[in-house]
Amino acid sequence: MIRKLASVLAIGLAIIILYGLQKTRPGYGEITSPITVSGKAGEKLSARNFELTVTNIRLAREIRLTTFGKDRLYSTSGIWAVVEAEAAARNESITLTSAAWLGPDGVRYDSSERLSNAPGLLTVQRLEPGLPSRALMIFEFPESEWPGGSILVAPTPFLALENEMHITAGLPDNAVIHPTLALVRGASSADWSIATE
Amino acid sequence: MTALPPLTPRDRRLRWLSLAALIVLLPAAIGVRSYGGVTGWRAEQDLDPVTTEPGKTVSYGGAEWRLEGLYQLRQDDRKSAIILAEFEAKIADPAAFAAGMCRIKLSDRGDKRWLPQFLTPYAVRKARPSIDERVTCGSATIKPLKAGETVKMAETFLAPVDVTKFDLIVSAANVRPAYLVLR
Repeated sequence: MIRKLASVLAIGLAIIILYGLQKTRPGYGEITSPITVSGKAGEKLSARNFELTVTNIRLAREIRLTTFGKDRLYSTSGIWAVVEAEAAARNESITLTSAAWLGPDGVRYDSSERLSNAPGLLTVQRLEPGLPSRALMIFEFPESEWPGGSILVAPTPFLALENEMHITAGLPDNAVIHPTLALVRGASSADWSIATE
Repeated sequence: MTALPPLTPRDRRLRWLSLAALIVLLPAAIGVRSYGGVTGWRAEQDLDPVTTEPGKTVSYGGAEWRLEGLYQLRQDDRKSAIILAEFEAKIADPAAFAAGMCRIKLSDRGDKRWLPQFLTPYAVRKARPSIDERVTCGSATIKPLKAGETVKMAETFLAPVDVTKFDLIVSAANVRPAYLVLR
């Protein structure tokens, strides 16, 4: 009788342990998800293959960009975030093709493709070891998404176990939203300046 | 319910044999499952260098390779320089050469690697017009070639101006993890 009771108890215990493991252990997606490197804007962050420092974040309602001699105004029903950074490859040339704005509620906004001809865009720029270069990221999202937002940067959006930087934007509550930001091209394709209008 | 019959010596022996088999079979199953992944990973890595002496030829991936020269062209920003690598391959086995799908990198003889520029910069074309007669390593592998033919190749890289000692790394898919270091 005692032996039978012990068997039933052992089976019950095994079920409880397995249920606990199933509920508490990370799933395959979590195990192979990107490895986060966290930091704040202004800090130099180092991932396995690249380094990046967010140097400036500006918010605007419109962006003016001069392309091939023509001025073009990009408006939005939300707001623009124009993020300047300095980035370099660590050991091997790399292109960081994934940049996104993460809103406070976890909604992710990929960098805008509307300004794909803007100068110095991080997601199309080849970074070389030993040659830090200025880079630009442009995001478009609803106005409610900028407080508490973060910038996510990774070599690719989907690669398992690759590093992904989570950079807290840290914008003050009274951050200025400029009516218009003008992106002015410099002498080379990777050179630019930003003027407020 | 009826009580379970007591275990016989044979049952006990079988039970211990089963447990012992698990010790062997579990690692074997893990090994078999991961074998394809490990060999695939190795085939993508440059692990075993084949290093040449300067100016000497070496056989690798169906051809005899030789580095002709590395040239530095300083940029206006005074921080970076274009590195032009000129090299040649005398084809011994055209099929093996083509299957290698040549991958090129520039190394600082340490842990830094630069990938070739997609387009040859104008400054290089202007300084060395003969570069137009050369092909890139990748395009050489899709060109119809005959045994005994010599292919002249060139690649350009963007590197810091203060790095002055480089090796050219050639890696062929059908020979990896062995890779060639042209010094």
